[in-house]
Amino acid sequence: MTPERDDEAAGLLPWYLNGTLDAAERERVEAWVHATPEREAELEMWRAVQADARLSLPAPTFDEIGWHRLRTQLPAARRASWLKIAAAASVLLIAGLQTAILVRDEAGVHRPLSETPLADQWQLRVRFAESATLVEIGVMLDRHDAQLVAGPSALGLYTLSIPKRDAPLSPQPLVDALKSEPLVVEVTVVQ
Amino acid sequence: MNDDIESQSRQWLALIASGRQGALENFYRHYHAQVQQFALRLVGNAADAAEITNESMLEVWRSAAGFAGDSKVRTWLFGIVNHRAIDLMRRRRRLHSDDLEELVDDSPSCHIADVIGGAQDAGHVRACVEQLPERQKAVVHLAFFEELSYPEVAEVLHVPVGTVKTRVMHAKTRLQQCLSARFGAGRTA
Repeated sequence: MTPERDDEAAGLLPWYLNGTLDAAERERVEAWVHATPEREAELEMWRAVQADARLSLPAPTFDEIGWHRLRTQLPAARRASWLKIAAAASVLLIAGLQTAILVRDEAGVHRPLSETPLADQWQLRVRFAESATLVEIGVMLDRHDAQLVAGPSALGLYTLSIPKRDAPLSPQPLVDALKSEPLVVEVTVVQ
Repeated sequence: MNDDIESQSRQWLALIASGRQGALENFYRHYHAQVQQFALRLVGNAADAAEITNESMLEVWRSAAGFAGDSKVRTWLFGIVNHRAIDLMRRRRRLHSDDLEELVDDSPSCHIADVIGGAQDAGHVRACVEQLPERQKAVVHLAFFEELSYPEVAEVLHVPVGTVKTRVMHAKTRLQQCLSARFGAGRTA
């Protein structure tokens, strides 16, 4: 087994123990584990962690107070949610109205003249799935702390602004996170 | 049985999306314990876990319409909980240990016999799991307590599966070092 396959087998031990690996993965992990006593010991260590995980947390009882607290917050929460969606829709509308003053940049993508990127924000250009609804996009943007700052371009691209605090050195983690979203078809870095 | 729960949960989400508080109450009754336990594992204290549970359920209320149905409801829900927990810890600037996660020394200087010895003591195991950074603890909890597959863990945590495996490897190193040190200390005491 190559070192890479070694690492992969070692990284699968928790799932070998919880029974969620497929047959081929199980076989690979078993071959890896039984090769040396050290690896057998590693599996035993994870087995001890598994046993502890099942015992260490008390089972919470239904929290009536928690439910009543939540229930009082529901009307305001739904209103706030619709306000965010309305704000996102407003951005789209404004962006649409700005098409009269669009310029074309070196990537062949239109952008509004008013677009002035902030230093503490990454700007990413995104294409959403055609089936994506405004509601879904609003929820997803909220999840990534992202704001829609421009779009759609003539190519159907939107520009998002996301604070750099989560990825100060490179926008790649944000790109990867957005790419993992089913609503997102493609992501490129603007700056 | 699991399919029944999944089907029921999807029905609840559809009703929640249309503003039915009764459906949210049923959803809350069914998932509250799992949410609370995951949150407790992530943040380590009951008050913060209750806060995260409340915020997560509010998020369900707000965003049920956005549930695309591509993942299981439980996976989607845990993703919300994880996100809320990270938000809370970030607000309290408690992510410092995770910032150092990638700097962990992956070449443990510990004896296998000490690791095995330490793992025999449930108290040592629990203490060593507790000292893991939040992100590694989340993986351990989702794998062993919720028994999610590794692709599901990756989905909950919004990271690639390779990152999940890397966190397991880092957690392994920390656990080995911790168990070995505790066993050694007990032997010399």
